[in-house]
Amino acid sequence: MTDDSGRASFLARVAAALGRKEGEPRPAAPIQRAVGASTFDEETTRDAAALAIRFRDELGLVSGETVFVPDVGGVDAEIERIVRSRGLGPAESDLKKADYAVLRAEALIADTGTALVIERTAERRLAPYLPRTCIVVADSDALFPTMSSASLAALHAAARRGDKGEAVLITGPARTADIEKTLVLGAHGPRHLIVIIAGIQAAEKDAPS
Amino acid sequence: MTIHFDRKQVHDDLHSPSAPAVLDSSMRRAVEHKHAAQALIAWDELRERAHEIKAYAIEHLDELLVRFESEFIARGGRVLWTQTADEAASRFLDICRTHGARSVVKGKSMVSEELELNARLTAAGIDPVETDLGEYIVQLAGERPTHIIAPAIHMSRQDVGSLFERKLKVDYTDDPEVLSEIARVRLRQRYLDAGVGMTGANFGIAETGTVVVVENEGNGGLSSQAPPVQIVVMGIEKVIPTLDDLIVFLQLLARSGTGQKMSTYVHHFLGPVDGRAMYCIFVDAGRTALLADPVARESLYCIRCGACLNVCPIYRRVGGGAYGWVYPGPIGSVITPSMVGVEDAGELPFASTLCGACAVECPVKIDLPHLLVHQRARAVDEGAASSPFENAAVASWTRAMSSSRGYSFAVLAARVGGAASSMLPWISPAARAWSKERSMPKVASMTFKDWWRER
Amino acid sequence: MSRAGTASEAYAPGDTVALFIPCFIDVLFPSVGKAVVSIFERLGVDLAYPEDQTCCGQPAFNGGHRKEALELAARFGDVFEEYKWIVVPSGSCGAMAKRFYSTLDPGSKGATVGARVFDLATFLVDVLGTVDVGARFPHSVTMLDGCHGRRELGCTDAARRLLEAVGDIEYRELPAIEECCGFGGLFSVKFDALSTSMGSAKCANATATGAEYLVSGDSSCLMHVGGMLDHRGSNLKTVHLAEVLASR
Ligand code: SF4
Repeated sequence: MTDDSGRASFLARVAAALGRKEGEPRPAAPIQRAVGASTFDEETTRDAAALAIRFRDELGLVSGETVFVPDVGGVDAEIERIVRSRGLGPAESDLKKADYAVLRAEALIADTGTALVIERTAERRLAPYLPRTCIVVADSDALFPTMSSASLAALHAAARRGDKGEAVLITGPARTADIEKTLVLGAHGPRHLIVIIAGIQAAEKDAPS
Repeated sequence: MTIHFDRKQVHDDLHSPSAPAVLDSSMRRAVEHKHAAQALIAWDELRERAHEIKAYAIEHLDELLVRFESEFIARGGRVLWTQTADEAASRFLDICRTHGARSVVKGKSMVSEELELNARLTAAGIDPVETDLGEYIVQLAGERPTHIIAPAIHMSRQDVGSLFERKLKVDYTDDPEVLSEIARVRLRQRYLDAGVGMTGANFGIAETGTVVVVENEGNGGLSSQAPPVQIVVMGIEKVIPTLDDLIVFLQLLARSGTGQKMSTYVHHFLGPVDGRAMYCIFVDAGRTALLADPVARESLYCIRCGACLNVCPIYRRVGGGAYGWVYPGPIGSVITPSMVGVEDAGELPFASTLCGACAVECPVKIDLPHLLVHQRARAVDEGAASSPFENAAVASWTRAMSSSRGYSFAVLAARVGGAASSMLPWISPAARAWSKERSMPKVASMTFKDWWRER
Repeated sequence: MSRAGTASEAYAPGDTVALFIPCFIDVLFPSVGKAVVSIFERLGVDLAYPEDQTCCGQPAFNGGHRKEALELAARFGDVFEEYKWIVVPSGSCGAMAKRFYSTLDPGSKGATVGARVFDLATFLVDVLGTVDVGARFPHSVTMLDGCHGRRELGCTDAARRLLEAVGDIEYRELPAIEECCGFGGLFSVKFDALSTSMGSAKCANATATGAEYLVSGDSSCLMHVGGMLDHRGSNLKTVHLAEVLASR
């Protein structure tokens, strides 16, 4: 609902500032893309292996890590391995105490090393932020070359469906440069971000992109 | 409230040994990072397009606001329309009271500074907690942010170290990593205890009714998601038409602000989950004054990236404190006179050489020097910038320059007076200001005009 | 993005070029105007100098005195109306006529005539297609680039190319050449501490090149930086681009 007090006069002020004539009906907000047709050249390549390597390289530039596993079945074992090798505590249901959280990415954007994560429940809403380590899991099908209508389709869909919660594009672990523009990782969010991409053969992973 | 460009600050800063050097080198690094980041993409095309999208959005602002509102409501949120900063702060307090909030965790927001929200909350017995590291530092110091994306940029790491030592009773350290960790630990529980979480908005998407907040530290995610009640305080110029339009701005914003390809977090608030509440407070607070001015309107395209501050030779020397209000640098000098009133801030746009470095950097192609001159003219028209003496002197000078005879007399006066300043009579009183560190040019024995006639 | 005025029509041999000699150059630095005359004479270009010209109005415009600026813009339109080519040895006054007259009053005579104004270096290089004007200047030089010329008119390369083609010259790049020297017209006295702080940086960069001369296409910037150098008793001398191009 809307708090009506002030709304009408507010809109009247905006309309007047725009030079609209009094009583001129406001067009019924036909939302179209403002100008031009395309946003970005969506590269046509959907070669998952090449995209995965590009994703890994880009994420690496912002201090995130990427691992490939051949199929979805290998994801759990990989998480186990990460947890053990880094001495992380057991998975906790209480995020406040958890050493790590596992997130699912609905899209991966290779150009920037970005993961699209949507959390739709109250219990999960702080998962991307509270633990020191975030493990993001995605299928190689979720890889896209650039940020585009296509790569944000899941976000479009969630918005259209009226999903609740938060969608967040995550690019690397949290960071700050607020003191003398000096980069510090971690800040208020995770210090480590590891993305596991399922469906990429180990042999492919160093193939030239 | 009369806002002066603080000359004293100029003086102090120019002669203080540490601050400007730290600021200057930070700003130079920021510009270098930006240039490196933008070199790899079709930068000019993107900023052209961003400019067009903003132009469209501002021309259709009334429609977009209404559309955004209905979508936001459909997501389960509530919208409040507020005309003044004061009203916006009051509505904010109302919401806090309704939900019985004792403390508010805040993401970084410049609008919040306009509302003087921290003071208002404190006065109402509600504890405001800044969570962005820079804002946290500035709040601890009892100061005001001096840069729109790097609030504590005016402080050295040593300054921050002794501040933390004094206020937080921790051992002195000037290691940014340790300082950041101290802030993290201090704030953890505050997110979970707060009754209300507040953020600004980088973009409001009309098509979806989603608010987009861009940040790097994770504090924006925690501030918006942890407390049971979420309030977005949004300047009305933040609305853009579609999700696809957002993509253009995301390419530009991080590169311009921090030199990153993409910011770490781009949050989209879809709607409140079980039992939580979500509000959006639309804030006018002088924006319709900018909107009503067909020239100054362009300043509403600003995405608050800070690039124009980073490159500004004035800002680099004096920092944000000298500008007297919320928004410093070239963009601040353009919007402040309209937002707070030209009679109160008419001096700001004069604190510029009009070198135009800002316009080159602006990712949405705002013609900042042109807008500075426009605001100067408004200030003069309103009698808010020039003395009656100056106005009279300019008028009579113009009369002189409007005829060959008048011109010859001015030249004669200059020669007799031996002072170049006679050519610009309203400068004469300031001849001393010129001469402090500069030799005064000599009037030539023969003008070019005379030479041409005699040749 | 270049705002450089490129001639819509080509310069035809025999076309007259009108000299626009800004008021402060007329009174303080007439040698700059004389140098422009000698360059064009050497190139065989027919010159005119409308003697009714005064000030372009930039001080009033930048000071926010729009009405007065409009009057002088209109006057400029009248004085230079009959000329197709107008050349000025100042990027700053050039920007006033070429860019800001149309800001003040789009479509006015001042704006139309102002659009025909070229800064000296741009005219020589882009319109006449001349890079080597037959000058000789056996000294080391570095260059101060005026911001208005650089950003409003988009001319940076032209001056550099002209200098590099001068005989026996040694061109040294000025570090941070794109940074403003701090003149800014009225700013120089309204905010003098800031103005000279910026000027100091420019002096330091220029001095560090070890060049004998600091060259610029803008006498106003030179007046400020040169005034500072002189005040400090520096050996670095200032000279206008036109004077370098006129010497042999
Ligand atoms: S005016 Fe342009 S450069 Fe300055 S903060 Fe706004 S968007 Fe950035």
